[in-house]
Amino acid sequence: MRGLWDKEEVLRYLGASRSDTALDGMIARAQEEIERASQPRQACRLFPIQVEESGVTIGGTRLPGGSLAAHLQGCREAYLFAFTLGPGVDRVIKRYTVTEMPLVPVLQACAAAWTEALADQAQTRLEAEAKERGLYLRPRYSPGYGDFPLTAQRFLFDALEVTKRTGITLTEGCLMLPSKSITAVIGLSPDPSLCHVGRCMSCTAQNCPFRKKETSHE
Amino acid sequence: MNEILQNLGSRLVFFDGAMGTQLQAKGLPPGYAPELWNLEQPETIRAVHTAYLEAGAQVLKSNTFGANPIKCRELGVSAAQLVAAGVALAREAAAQSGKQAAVALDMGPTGKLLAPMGDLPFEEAVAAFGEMVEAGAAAGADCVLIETMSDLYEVKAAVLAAKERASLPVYVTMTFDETGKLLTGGSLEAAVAVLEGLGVDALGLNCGLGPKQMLGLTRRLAGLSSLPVIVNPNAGLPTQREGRTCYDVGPEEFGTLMAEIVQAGAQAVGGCCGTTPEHLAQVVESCSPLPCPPVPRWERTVVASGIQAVEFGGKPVLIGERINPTGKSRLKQALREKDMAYLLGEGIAQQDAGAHVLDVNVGLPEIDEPSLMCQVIGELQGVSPLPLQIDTADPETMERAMRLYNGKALVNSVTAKEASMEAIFPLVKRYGGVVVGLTITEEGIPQTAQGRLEAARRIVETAGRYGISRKDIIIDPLTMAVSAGQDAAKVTLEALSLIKKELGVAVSLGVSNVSFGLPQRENVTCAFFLMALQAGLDGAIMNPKSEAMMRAYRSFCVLAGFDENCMEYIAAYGQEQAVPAPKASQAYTLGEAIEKGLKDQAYQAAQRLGESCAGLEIINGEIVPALDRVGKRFEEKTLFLPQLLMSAEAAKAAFDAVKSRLGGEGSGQRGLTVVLATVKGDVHDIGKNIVKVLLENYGFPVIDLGKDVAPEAVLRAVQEKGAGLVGLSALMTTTVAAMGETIALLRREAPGCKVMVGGAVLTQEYADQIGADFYGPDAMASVRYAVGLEQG
Repeated sequence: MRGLWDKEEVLRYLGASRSDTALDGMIARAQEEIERASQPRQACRLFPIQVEESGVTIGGTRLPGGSLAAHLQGCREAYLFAFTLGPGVDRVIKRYTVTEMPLVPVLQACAAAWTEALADQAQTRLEAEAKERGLYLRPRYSPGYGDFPLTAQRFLFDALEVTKRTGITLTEGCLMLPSKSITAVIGLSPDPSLCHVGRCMSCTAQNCPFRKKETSHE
Repeated sequence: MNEILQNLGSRLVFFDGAMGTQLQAKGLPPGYAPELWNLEQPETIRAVHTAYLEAGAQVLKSNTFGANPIKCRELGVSAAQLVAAGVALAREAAAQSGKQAAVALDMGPTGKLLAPMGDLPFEEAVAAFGEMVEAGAAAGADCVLIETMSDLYEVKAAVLAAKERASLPVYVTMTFDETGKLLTGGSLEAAVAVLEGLGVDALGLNCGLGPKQMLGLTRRLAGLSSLPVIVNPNAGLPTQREGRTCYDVGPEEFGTLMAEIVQAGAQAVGGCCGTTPEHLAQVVESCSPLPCPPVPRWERTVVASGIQAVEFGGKPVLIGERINPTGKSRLKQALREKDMAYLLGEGIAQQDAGAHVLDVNVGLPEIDEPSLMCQVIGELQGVSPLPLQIDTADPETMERAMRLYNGKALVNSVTAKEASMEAIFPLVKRYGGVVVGLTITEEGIPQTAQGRLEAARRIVETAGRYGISRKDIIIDPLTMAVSAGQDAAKVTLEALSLIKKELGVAVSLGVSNVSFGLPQRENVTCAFFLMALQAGLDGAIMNPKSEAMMRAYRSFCVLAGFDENCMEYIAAYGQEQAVPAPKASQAYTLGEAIEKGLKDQAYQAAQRLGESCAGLEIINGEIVPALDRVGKRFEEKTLFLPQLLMSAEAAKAAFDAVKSRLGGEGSGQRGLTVVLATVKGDVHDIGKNIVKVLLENYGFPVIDLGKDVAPEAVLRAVQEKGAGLVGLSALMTTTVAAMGETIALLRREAPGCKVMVGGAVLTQEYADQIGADFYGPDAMASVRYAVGLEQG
């Protein structure tokens, strides 16, 4: 598990351009706390899709959003995917908010990086499955990206039975709890060339504080 | 009661299999609510029930899993209508078949997380399930089956609803992983304790796993539960085949495995996702010849949170006594000011020191005790997994707290007085709990051990008449101050042994009382603690932050065989240095200590300075400039958020040192009060909490309203506290709208108040659009703005 940590990602989420001994120590403690508190769960299911210009129909339900449609161009199937680190991580962050605030942003950054890393790992099985059929996975595309509305969460949750299978719940405003959770549509495509879009570069949130610099890796 | 259900526990009972899987096979589109078919395709639903009846099912689960009012809001149909139709279809199928069958009103999770961690208030959840129960009972359901649950708190809401709105048998099956953990992290032991406490009629496992994985869990469950066990597994684990979801256990194998599950201790079996009438037919065929396993009777005394259970009767249980205002002026102040951070800090410190249960007593004369108790319990359960002891003399506080508590609480306390027992026992019966019985009678505290035994006997016997078994009673024979009576400790210890032997109940004591009125109390308290442990004490209300007490306790556990391989003792003391390392000789100036983020050093330096300088001089001349230097480095990106916060905490320590020297209320506080909130609909509060810490450490009085805060609540706080600045946080684009509404309301009703906004998706442009006065791209910018405003 240890090997999955990407310290650069942790620093990026932390908004820190470099580390020092003290920060290294805090990151190591936070990593340990997050690993211990994590109880990862996932759910995924494959659906036939039809891609149109301004939306995508998944299993009979039409999801609006030109950006999702553009993202899934050329796909005939897609996985709906859900992943969570579980509620323990939120509890740990709450606990340190009371006892040691300086560690909180570090925990937060580590939890975000760990969510991405474990979700990537969970996806490798899907990649292998797809490959057997000569297909490739598009990057994860989540409600809230581009003009893919957050309210699409409700469909994803019902179609994938997300709550029952992973314990993730939705608030009135369609936010997920536990907070360290991901839902996404992952297109399957016969063409591998469209499958390496940088996570940040295809996003329209130009001012996002976590947006990677154009020169950085990826 | 339906005859089949009446025999649950003495004769094997067969539940049906999956409904959803069958409907998908019949063309139910993904994401479409299956319950709508109760109205749109009733014949399809009836046909599924009929197929299961023909396969031998005796209990039909109505097609109402997701038909709760919260989900139905999206569907535009009333929950009552879907539930009534669903139950009626199962009833009709049963009647047409001519077979004996019972209909279970099936209820699944709401899909929402309960407050305070989530946004569904507990009583709203109770009401939502209540609507289903009422409609289901009216339509002729024979029992309520609460299933596929992964959160014990939600289960409690559903069970209360079932019991309060109908008088049908209530069964609960939950979804565990192979290690026996719920999706919320709750343990099997905690689930059994809570469900038995709530008085359900049967409990068990469903969904998530196949029969192979559930076999071991069934064995564990049978070793914990004194109720009939129901096991409804999936048809194995899901796999994708040719782009379709399949389950990997076929009917024949499923039948064989279910026979093993019966032998492992299940009294009722059926199926969940992926199972078919063929699976069920195999289950009936392979299990019917087997005898129904007897339901064991376990006499364990267990309390639980929603996460973990603690058992009395083995290794002595430590109950942390620090959240109790008696004799603690700092805690009294925290309670009056609703200083949750302090209270939660006390809870966590005790947990870290080794407490197993936390006592919570918030009783002060001038306080709204019921609301404060509920608030403290909710917040404490958000940061600590330990079970709580609800400690109050007020019956209303007790009732509200027991209802809201997530888990099976330790209830402190009842006495042998009629009035006390009449008030407390019905609550224990309704909400579950282990009740601490104090040996106090109408005449007072008996002077002899025999007298206290008789008082205890009265408690145990009266509890029995309320249907509370002795396993849910702990007797406390009362520790009296030895300074007031030479035999005080002796009588208590005699009573302890006597009660344990004669009544077979667990015993506890608040040990600290013994040394009241003596110098160096810890000496006597520790000795008494050891004597009581030796006399068979099962639970001690004590101070886990006392190193001497913990040494005595850990040593006792080693000597009495409660610490396998002395592991816990070694973990606690193995690394300890014989002599504490001398404090670093290097003494930093106050400014250096703050810049380096050294809390203790900053405190000491401020104290030293306080001997020669005035408080305000220290604050304005040393603390604030040091914080400013750190802030500047943060803005220059040569130092980052964690270091900034460490410096802020060091500055806070320095403030405290200065304040304690001046002794004046509010000295050093700035004149500008700031109200902070994460806006309605948003649950991300980390950024807001960071801003709060910084503002506080710059000396601003901060009113933190938390997350998911309605515009009206922000306005109310501004008006009540006379705040000059509001800070609003939102993380999602969708919640920026709520930010705009809040600003609009403030502009109308509190035009003098400035508003600053921040959060990941915000930009200057957004901030301008919604009419904010200031956009803070980071925490430091917010502080700079507040300082600027204050200085005019």
